[in-house]
Amino acid sequence: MNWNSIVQAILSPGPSVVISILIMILGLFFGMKVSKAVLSGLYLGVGFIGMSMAINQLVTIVTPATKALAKNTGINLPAVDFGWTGASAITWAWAVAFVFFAIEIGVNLVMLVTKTTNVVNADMWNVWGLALTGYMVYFATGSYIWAFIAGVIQAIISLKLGDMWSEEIENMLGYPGITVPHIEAFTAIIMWPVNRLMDFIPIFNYRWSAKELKKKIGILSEPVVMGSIIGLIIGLAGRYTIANALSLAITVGAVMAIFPVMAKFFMDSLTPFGTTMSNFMKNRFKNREFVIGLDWPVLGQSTELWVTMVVLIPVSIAFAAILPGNQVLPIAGVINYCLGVGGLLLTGGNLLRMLVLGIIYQPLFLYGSTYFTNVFTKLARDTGAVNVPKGSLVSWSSIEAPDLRFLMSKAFTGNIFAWIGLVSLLILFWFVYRSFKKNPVPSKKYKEQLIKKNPKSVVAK
Amino acid sequence: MPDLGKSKRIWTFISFITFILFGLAALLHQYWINIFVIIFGLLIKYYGSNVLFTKGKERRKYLKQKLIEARVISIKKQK
Repeated sequence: MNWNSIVQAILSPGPSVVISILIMILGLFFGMKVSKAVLSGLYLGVGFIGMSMAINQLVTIVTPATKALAKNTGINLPAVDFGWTGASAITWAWAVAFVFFAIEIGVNLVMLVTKTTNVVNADMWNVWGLALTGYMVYFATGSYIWAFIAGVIQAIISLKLGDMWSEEIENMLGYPGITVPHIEAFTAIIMWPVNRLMDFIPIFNYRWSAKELKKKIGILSEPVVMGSIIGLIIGLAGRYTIANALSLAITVGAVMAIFPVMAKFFMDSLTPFGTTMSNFMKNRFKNREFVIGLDWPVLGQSTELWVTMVVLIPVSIAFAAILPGNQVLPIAGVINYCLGVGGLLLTGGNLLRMLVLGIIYQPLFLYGSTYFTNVFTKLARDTGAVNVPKGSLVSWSSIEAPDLRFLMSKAFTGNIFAWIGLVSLLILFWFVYRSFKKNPVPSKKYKEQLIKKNPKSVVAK
Repeated sequence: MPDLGKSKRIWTFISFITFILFGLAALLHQYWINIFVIIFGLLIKYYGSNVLFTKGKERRKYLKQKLIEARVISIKKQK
């Protein structure tokens, strides 16, 4: 029996269908009326489809501009960036990938029963991330056991990340009972030390939300305007015609205009599900507040998230051109969700911190993707899921958790320094987790912008 | 727009028109349609949000009040 084919068949309709059906089933299980459970699931599915369309549109329109930019500036990097879509395609084609499905569910059940997590992870679509880590470790060690251990570690980390963010997400979005256990938010851990340093620099301690920026720089802070300007710059830098550059600018602006609206729309419809689930859990499991783990687009209504990801596009291209030893030009993976989502959740939506952290940590992803180029290329060739011509290399420029994956790959081969690095990273994670448990809403520490007339007065809204 | 401003159905309709226009622009590669997406998107953001997303807003207000009562955040009066 080809379990891999069975799993792939179940997941083949895509995340919008799989997660919608899961939400409908969970809604019925928690006692929702059939009509409400079906509606919740449908709204979620429609919302995910809408968001996927918006994200794909952004990638589709930015990718050729990035290629043109590389061609016109003479940037010549050997590895082709096939983004998360390419990475997921080759991972699911790996014969052993289906095992990680069982690992994810098994770890989740064990942790729920032992009360080490309150997250019920409905984001089964992203199990491929676990499988990719497993393959990376298998590539380095030749051992399936170490690959499965790596999968277990990542599953545990994901669920604990979900626990860490749940209160902040409720505060940020206003929706109870959901969280984001996606491993891409692990970037927040490695960004934490610099974020902590920023606590001692006054300028980073003001409320730098998109709304607050508007008071300072007016219309330029409007995400539509910011996105359009970035789009225009990318188009002109790629030597597009004025018409094509304007098309790019308008499309990026449209994504910035529509995405937060789309996200709010379908998230509002999840409120009945979240409330019902919360009541069910309170009645049956005293002192436990379960949360449902969903894919990161539920955070899509955050303007700061999109501004950060779009502004970092030219930054990542610039870094790709100048970093010594880098082999990957960001194309399909040019929109770095890890920096956006990790920065958003770590800083509580402080746009200035998110941008500065994004600039500082962008090289990590380029070097990570360069390191794993051979891994991706071999997996692509072995599975045949993506056509890689002889002599070509493929990679994923915004690879999730490059630090964790690199250290696990190296450590499980017996490298003592990698073990020290891995243990240190996990200790840092534990420290950040504890810190978030004590102060789950990072945005509360930011002061309102000082009013010039009376610099001593500070008003919190 | 006092009547339009309070009608959730009309703003929902405008939202769906906006999504459809965005989809059309993507499918047909007629990116100039996005100008209307931007206009409608901004209209929804500044005039329609309060009508469409009241639940989220009330929930956030409730959560903020809880944080204030728990003295997690505080209100300071401007001098």
